Amino acid sequence: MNQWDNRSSKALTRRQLLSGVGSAVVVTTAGCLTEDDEVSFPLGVQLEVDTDNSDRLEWTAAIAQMMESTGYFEVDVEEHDFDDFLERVFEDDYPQYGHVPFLSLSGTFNPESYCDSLHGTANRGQCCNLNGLGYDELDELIDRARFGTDVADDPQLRERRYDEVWHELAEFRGSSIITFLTEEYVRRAAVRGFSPYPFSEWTLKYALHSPSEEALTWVDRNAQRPAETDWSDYQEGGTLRYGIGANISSFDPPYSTDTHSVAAQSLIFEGLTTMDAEGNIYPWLAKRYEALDVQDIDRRAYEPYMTTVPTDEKGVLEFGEGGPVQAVAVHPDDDRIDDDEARVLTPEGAADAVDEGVYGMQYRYHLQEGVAFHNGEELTADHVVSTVERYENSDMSSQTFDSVLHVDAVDEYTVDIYAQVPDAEAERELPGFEIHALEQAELGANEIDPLEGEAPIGTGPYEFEEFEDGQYFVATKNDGYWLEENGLDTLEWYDGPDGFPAGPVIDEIDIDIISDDSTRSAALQNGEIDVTFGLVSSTLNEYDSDDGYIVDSVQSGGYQFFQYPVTVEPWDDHRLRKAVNHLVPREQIVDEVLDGWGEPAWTMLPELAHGTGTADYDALESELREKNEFDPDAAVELIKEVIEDRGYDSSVQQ
Amino acid sequence: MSKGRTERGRIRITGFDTEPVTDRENSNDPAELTDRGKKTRTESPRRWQRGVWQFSRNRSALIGLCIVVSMSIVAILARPIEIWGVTVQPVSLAPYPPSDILWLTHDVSPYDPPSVTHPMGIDGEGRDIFSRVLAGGRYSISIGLIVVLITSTVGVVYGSISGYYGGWIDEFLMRLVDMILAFPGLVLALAIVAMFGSGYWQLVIAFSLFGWASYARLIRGEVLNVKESEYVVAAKALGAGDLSIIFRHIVPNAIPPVIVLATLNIGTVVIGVAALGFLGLGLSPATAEWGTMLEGARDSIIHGPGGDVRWWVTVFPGGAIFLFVLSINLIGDAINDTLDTRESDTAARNELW
Amino acid sequence: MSLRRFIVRRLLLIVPILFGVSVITFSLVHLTPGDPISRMVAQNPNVAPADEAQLRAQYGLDGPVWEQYLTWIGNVVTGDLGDVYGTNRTVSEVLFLRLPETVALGVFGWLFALGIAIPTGVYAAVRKGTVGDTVSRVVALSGASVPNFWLGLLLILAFVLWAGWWNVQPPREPLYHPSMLWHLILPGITVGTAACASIMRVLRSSMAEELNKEYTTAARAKGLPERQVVYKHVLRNSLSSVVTLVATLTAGIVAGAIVVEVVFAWPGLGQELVEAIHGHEINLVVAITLFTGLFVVLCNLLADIIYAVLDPRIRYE
Repeated sequence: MNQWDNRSSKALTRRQLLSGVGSAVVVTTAGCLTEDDEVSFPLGVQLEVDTDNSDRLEWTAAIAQMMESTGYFEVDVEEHDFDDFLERVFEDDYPQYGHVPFLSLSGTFNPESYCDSLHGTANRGQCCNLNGLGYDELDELIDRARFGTDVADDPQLRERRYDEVWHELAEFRGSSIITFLTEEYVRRAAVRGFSPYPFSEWTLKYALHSPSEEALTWVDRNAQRPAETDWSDYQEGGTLRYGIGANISSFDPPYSTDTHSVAAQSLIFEGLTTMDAEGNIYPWLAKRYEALDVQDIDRRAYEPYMTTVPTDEKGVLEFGEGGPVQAVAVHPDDDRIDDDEARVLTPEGAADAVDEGVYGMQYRYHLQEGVAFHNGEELTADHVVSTVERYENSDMSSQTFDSVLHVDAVDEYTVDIYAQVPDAEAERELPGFEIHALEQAELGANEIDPLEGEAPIGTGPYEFEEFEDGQYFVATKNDGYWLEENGLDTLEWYDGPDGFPAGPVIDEIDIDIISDDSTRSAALQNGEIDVTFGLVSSTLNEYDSDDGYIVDSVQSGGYQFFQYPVTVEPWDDHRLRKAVNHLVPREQIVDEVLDGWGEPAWTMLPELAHGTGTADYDALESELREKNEFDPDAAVELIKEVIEDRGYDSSVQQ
Repeated sequence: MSKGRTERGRIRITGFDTEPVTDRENSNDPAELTDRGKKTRTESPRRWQRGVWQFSRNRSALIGLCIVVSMSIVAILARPIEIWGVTVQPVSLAPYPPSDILWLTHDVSPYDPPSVTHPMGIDGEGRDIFSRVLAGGRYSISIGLIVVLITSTVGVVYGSISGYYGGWIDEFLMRLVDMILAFPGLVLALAIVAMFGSGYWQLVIAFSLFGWASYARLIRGEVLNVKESEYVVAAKALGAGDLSIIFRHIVPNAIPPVIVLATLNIGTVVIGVAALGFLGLGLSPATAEWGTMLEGARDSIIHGPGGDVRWWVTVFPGGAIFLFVLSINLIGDAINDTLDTRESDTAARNELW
Repeated sequence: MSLRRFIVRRLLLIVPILFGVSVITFSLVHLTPGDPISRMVAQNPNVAPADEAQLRAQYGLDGPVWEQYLTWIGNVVTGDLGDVYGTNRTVSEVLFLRLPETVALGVFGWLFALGIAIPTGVYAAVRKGTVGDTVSRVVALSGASVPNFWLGLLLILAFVLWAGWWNVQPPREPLYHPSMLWHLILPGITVGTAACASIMRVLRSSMAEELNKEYTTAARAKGLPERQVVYKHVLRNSLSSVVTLVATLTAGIVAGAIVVEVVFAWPGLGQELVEAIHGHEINLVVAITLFTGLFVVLCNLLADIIYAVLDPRIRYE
């Protein structure tokens, strides 16, 4: 499962990356059925799923079986290899095939990731609007909840706007979310105080030491069974052996998108800010930051600073001599595929725009002083600027430059980061990069690679020690860690207890790569690793009831969904979609397929985004839950209604 | 009985032979010896008859045959078979559709142990293992049969041509076989699956595309042995065409070792398909194919602390493969003994493993 | 033909076979429906579409097929098997990193196979028809019929999880370290079982045959102790039938190693191959396929030469 997560995130990010390069796909909307394609019931329908995730296969089969059992559907389940499946669902014509694709996606703290990815017009043919869904009112609802000076200033307004989105989506029913995923970490009793983070790539860093929530992990090899402990009982030293399910494919932050690589890097690198488990932001390498200015503009305002660049038939920008240049933004009125050229904002143009006062937002970050990199360099504004330059045209460039406009060094310890448009998510989105040492800031793509003699250098609490490809990675304590040198008081926001350590207390982190889930489970039971995650769900209850192990479950932001072919008759009738939605046995799926380790999706908003995504989650759930209940009778009623209203043929005996 | 001949490629051992190489039968009948051509011509049917008789006296071979036949029949009768909407086989031995998820409709949970209603228990996806094991033979056995049919046919034609014509044709064709045999079969199958993707026919291709090579080499050796025999020479003298000589006179006499190889090969292909399934490169995970079932069952072998081994999930499909391949091997051995062909045995068994 | 001439001839014969092996590997890639490069680009998230043209040039995929083959084989001969995507590492680096592990596993498999098969085969042949013979025959048949991944899982269950004699993961030591050798025992057994069964069966039947031959009777008549007859004369002569199996068995062990490495998390070429297939790393798949082919060809050659040196009774055709 874990391996799948890893691969999917890789592949999906390439899609996102592709979208950044500009392969916007034109989808012809409206049903393209010809006259003689009579709709009749029982209705033939094809559910499509990849073979990578056995749980997903299982509920796809279960839903197919439920649909068949009503008598109104003749269902085929078609299975594809994961990569082939992705290729397939992103095809231009896919929405017209009338198939129902099953997939999963990983969201973030940002509520937008639970509505826009599946339903936004801009995501058609990309990740992950697979059914060509999209209409202006919805786009506007989603847009108004994130962008604009009003929501940037008023979080409550933002929450209410998102509530409107959830209601609209439940009414339109373009897709069904089946479950929200949880991630289960199993650890031996020797690991004390460990608390997982919703996103597995940050768990290690968060659990080892997070002053924001007093999270601290230490190792006590004498501990036999789990007991109530408090961080104040902590012991220093020791080695934590952490089992992961896929190779660390890269140590180069802008060139790694899979969770395991990011997890390994998180020990070594740090960013300007950090987040707690609720997604609240705390300054980190930046001592503090503030929003200096917000201007009510959209991307058209950058028109005077844009240069015209020819595009090829795939929409790729052809920069000519000197290699590709980062496209910070493309003019919203230009179409890179249909037109031969596009107006593009390059980093140079962005700098000019900022010089002349054209930008969406201006944030000022004041850096910590006395932060030493593992190679002895001291953190300055230059590091931030050159890091962002290294992110240009990298695998992470589209994520970085969908919000960042420009970065400017104000003085040695002050940096301004400009956002392209007023954005309520700017605080989380803008500083999303790992600060590099100047020594490595000039390196080319993938050149930070310990196997090629270039070990990663950061400011983090651990230093790179040893990496054996596909086998293990060892990181040892950074003796000159800046936070320990300067003390917790340098974190201006810190108001926790006095004795809390200023850095992780474990000396060595040993990441063991064991790709097979059951082998990893065996290694855990054999005492070869201390913590791992992504084990087979049917064994979790056994770990849970054993005294020697602790299972921590955390909502991960991942969600499992399927989409209706809304542009194809008769699926353009929302009642039919609602009917199928009533055939999804969400509770049973969680109980039987996931052995209880998951959450039925009663709304489209998972717990970790409740903070900014709804004014009152309980109210939202009580309003929407009934629409997502398993109710075959209601489903049959709705189908009958559709048949009668639209005058479809039906040979179903009921 | 030995020919003292361990031919592999270019090497031939001599010095130990106590019998002439060309003479397959140790005939003591002087009357027959006087008319060798006649003897060899009548040899085939007699050899077959005697083989059948010997085979029927071999208890373990009969048991093997019974198991293989009954497993095949059960696989056919497990679920009704429809061809173009017409039910050609209405019997349904399996109590549940093999891919039905039973927790939706029955009071069961994934990994329920064997019980009266579910004699082999429930698998991790809530399906009835008994039904799946019954139906599972359809994939393994049919892929095994199809592959063996294709590869043996191609191999026999190829090898006979090579052996019959000899000279540079033989040299060229056999070098090609050497090249193919340089690769372990499973590696080639993996590479093919990597290129073509996985699925039923892809698996057939993966095992067929290069699988004929060992037949070709085997039959070529046999052809070389019978080619010089007098009846062939006689047939040639009578003006029979090459094709007619090859397929009417040579191949029937050279076929016994091919049968042994083919029999044993069914077993290797079944294991090979299971191995690809186990590596996640076989049929889609929901398929009730034995190897694929084992892949799904892999998770259940290693349980949590204090948990029970869910042996039923692995033992039954694994046992089905084991039983089937074992029976095939028993049959192959028996045919080998009766038809007296020694070397095809190891060739078949090691072609993949 | 003298021994030297035989060896020279055999070495020369290798050349066309190597050529053929490379052609087969090459055509595997080109048999793929569609253009391998566009498929690779489409499916590998680490390859940017912009690299497509460069990759095409690297493989010479713009010319006619023979030209493409020449470009490719030229690269292969100079050791350039391409890069591992998303890194700056070359495929050859990966191959040579993983090769020793697979070789070590294979050697263990061989040791196990010979260590068990020879005494058992001898015993079965000498005691032909006894209970012991039947038992060993059943065991050999079972060994040939059991899927090795299944056997490996059962061994892990029994000796790693229940008995706790081994760790799940290999120790972090160089290959020659005793703890590493200890760790190789279970995978070695798993990978050697099929070969062991084959050797046992072949040895049993060829020994049984030799035991009935005249020279055996003569040796016995001379009054040689039975032990000496069996081990010095009969076994030695029967082993030649085993030596002829070396190449096929090695191929079998290499193939078995692929699956066994996955089961035992042993970081060899097999695991790399399976990962490469899942990750659509076509460069690696091609390289490993080519490599196993070459490896088996060389083993074959070695076996033939050893055979020729050992057994003077061979006539070379």
